[in-house]
Amino acid sequence: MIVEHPAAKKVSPDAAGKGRVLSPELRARIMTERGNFPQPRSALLGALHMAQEEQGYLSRAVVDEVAELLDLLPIQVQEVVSFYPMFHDRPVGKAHIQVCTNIACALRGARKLVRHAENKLGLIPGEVTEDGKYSVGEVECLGSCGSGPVVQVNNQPFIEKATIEDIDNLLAGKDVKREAQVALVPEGVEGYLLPPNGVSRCHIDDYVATGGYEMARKAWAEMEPEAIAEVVKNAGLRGRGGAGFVTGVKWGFMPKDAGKPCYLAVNGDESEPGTFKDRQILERNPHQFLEGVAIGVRAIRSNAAYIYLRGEYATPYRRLMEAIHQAYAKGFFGDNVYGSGKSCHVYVQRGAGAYICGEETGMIESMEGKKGQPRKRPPFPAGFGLWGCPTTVNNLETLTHVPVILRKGADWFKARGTEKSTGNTLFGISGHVNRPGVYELPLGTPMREIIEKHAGGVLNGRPIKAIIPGGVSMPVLTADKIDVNMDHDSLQKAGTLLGTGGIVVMDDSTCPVRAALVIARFFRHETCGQCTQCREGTAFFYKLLKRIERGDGALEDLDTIQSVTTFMEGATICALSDAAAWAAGNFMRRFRPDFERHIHEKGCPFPESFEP
Amino acid sequence: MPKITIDGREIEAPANAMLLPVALENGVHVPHYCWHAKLSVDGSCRMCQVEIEGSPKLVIACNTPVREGMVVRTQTPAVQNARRGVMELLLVNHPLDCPICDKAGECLLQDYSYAFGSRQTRTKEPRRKLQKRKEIGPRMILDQERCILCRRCVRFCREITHTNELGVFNMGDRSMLDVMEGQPLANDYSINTADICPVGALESKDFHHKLRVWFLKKTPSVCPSCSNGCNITVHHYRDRIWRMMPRRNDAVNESWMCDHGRLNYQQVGDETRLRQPQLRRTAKLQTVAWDEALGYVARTLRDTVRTHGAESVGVIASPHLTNEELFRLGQVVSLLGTKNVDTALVVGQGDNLLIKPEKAANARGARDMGLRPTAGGLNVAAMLEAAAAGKLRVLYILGSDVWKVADPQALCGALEKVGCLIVQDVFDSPLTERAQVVLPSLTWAEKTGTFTNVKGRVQQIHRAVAPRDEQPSDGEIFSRLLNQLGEGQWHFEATAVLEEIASAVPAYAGISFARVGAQGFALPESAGDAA
Repeated sequence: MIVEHPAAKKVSPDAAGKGRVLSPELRARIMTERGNFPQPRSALLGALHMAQEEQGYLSRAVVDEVAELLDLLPIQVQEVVSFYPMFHDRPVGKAHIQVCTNIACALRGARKLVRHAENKLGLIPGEVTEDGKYSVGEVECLGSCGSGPVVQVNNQPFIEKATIEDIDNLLAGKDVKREAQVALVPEGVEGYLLPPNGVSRCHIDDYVATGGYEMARKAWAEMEPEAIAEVVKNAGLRGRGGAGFVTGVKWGFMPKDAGKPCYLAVNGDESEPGTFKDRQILERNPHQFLEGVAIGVRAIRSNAAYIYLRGEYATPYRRLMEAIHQAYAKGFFGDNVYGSGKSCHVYVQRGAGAYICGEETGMIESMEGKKGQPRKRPPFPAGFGLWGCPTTVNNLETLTHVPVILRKGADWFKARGTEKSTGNTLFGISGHVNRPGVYELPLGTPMREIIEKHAGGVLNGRPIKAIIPGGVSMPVLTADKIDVNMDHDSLQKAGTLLGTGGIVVMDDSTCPVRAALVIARFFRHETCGQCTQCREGTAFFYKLLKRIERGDGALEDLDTIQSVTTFMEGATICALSDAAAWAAGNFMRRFRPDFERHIHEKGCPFPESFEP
Repeated sequence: MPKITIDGREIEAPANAMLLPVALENGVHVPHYCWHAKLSVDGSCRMCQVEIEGSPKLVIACNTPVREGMVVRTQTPAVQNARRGVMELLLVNHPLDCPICDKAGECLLQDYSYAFGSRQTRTKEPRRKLQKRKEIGPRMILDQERCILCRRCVRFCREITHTNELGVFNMGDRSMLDVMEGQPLANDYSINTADICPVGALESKDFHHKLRVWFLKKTPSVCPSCSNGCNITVHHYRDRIWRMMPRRNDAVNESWMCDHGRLNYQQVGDETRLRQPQLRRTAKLQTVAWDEALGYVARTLRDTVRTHGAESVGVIASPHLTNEELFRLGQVVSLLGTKNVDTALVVGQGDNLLIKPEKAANARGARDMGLRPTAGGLNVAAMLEAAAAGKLRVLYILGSDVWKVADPQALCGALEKVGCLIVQDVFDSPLTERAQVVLPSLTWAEKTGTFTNVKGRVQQIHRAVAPRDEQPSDGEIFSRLLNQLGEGQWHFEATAVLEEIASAVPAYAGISFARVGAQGFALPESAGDAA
């Protein structure tokens, strides 16, 4: 599903011409989508989503026709089709049932669901039932870790906290409950990212009633870009996408007089396992985010923002597009916004299931309609980004803080969090806890408080085995580190990093080798494949860990893991390689006795452990 | 010009240059796979990591701009560990089928493994299975298992030929190089991808399983197939050519050559080549000794000029001969006194890359050496007309290109009427069937000399393959004819003849083999091209 942009120049089916496979209507929609971008190729992912929705899968004939519509060669399209997990170049079932088997869902029994579905349908992975109705696939993190295990059918809204009964109902064609993720502002916390508990602020009138878009008006009608950046810098806002760079400083990197357009690229590709926060903003508070986008566009002297949203997010996408339509209708986006004489546009592109597109230059490549392979630096995006123009990439949550900072001032913002990690953030907590979900809390909140108080403690009161503090890219911690505070400095001192603030808790039933294996499988699946060490190293770890898990490991394999991490850290175009090495290396080092037991006992010594 | 230090040595580097080419040009070998001098920087193989003072991580030399005062180290333990890592991981899935790989012996995977890799393997997992020996084009084979995904070939097809046949499909360790069905790697330059492939993933069908590369001897030369004059290296063994490869010359062919030129070496070793002079005493051509054949040619030419005048003799030169040979031929023509001299040149299709319309290596040289009609002389068409009218009694044709350029009817008419047809060529042809005398020619691969390319660049060719039975070169044939026609002792030694050219042909003033060197000598633009 691709929703038409409110300001799109509509191409009629007659004008789009007759095709061989695609319907005239679809050709017209693809040509309309094409008009949203400075370069036709940027409409490629959207075009493929639409074509797949109509045709079921992307056959060679479809590839040829899409190529022709976007002035591309078939090979340029096929490379993209083959790269992105959401695109199918062979038939899948009419209902393609995808079960997330990444760490948070795996901890909650995802493997059982996959097995149940396959057994029930008599399928092996990759097969389609004879009647063409069903196929089953495993997917890496769907971004709903707090309600795992999660199932998605085609591109429909998720089935959260899925059970075997849900699978049965699904296969019987019955309705399946769609339970919502928990996302709360705990009592005593002054929340500003999420609306008050129980309230949804999706309609623009509700948002405007709270003073919404007033700061966007001020930014466009009254403020100079430098002044905006200055306030945000003074507030100490650090990016919420994982790296924690100071947002105001990043905006300052943009050239003042580039002589060509500048762009704000918004990273909504949230796919780091353990992370499921940005989705909450879009589902419940999309306008505050959009206001942040409008302010961000102004702050970097741009006239357009492009939002890259992960393809699996069906509901968030719909809410976002509704919000954009409402905001255009009010004149908050478009030409001559707030009487400034300037234009401010916002567009949305949907990803197609590749984690690497959350890396800023991988995302830019993907937005240009290419494989999401990160770019070597130099050049940096601030000089040469989207379509070769100066570009700032900001995380979706980061921008959602901005209207509040402008409204309430830097000092108000700095009063939250710690000295160097200011403001609230959305902590996601998943795995073996009683109340997994997203909680808006100040940075620096003790991890113990999040786990024990907000998430209701560990399931069945069991002791903790391991904690991943900020998405699986961040080094795992042993249970004794639970008293660390969740801010950049404290976590660094504890031997890890804040990342996206997505906490995954594993209780003492958990086999660390299996946990490392699931994470290694993820990185192996998601490496783009450019850099030697990452392409080969991630697969190397996966296969080696699988062997150890199976009971065929040797002690020297542990030294090999250690040594291969040195090849992978800091050695590649982007940080995925580092993340894969940190994951494997830290699990092995911090749980070495468990790894050794696996080797000595020739199998898993954790009888109650989750299945990988 | 920033000054940088590499391994303790101070080096002056061009501003804005990247570190890797600077290091390589200064003799510091930083290993690399994906980087290629003539392609855009890719930065993905990670083999060229080096240490830079002040940088917390190693950097890739191919994408690091030099800056003043930069201190670079290429041999530190961290660099060595990084290289060992890349090598170990590249080999994790490599099939290690070196015993049957054409690239063995000139493979960067082998060389760098030996130089920088680990001495043991730690992987116990099965290797990736992909397609082997896949025909991806009329002249190319792909082994996906050997591919290390450096994407040099992909960039070549994108940036050089703009044909985009190759792509990397899938993601991560499932990535594989391939073509699209129905879109084979069939461009005119496809075999260059085998040259730039650092491993044995892309192989030329022509060379596939022919010979181990370490047997090959290499002789620098120039491609004979068109007037671009691509610089090449002839790879030969036991007086046979096994393959030809482009030799880098930025003024001529960068690092490339076309497939047609590359494969156009078969004639050199062809068993059906003319090897002995032949004379038609009766109805049939008979093999004769060189002295007899040349004596007959000299006598016929002299007698005809004496009896019927110089204008009764016509000479059609070949643009495949060297400048030195053509110069000698010009002397023969002058001595005979005929103005009827021209060069038969096949003109076909060119492209915007290397292929030129003039389908001979030395068309420009033939013009420069005066093998074209002067005032009052006849060109090829006019000569044939004159012969058909019985006005031309002797026609001396070098090569067989005239057969491809002349009107067939006019040619047949002329050959029927002409009193004596002398043909000097490498192969039998419809021309030799009608000839009174047939003199065998040597090919470019058996000669030393110079060609002048279409842009007026004089370049050397060298004898790569020894001629059989001491067969004389065309230049020697002309010299011996001169000896018989006139007085004096003419020899043919290319170096000496080029000196004669230097003093006789103004545009070539001051030229010598030393000045031509390995990269050629550009004639002054004022020299102009008579074409």
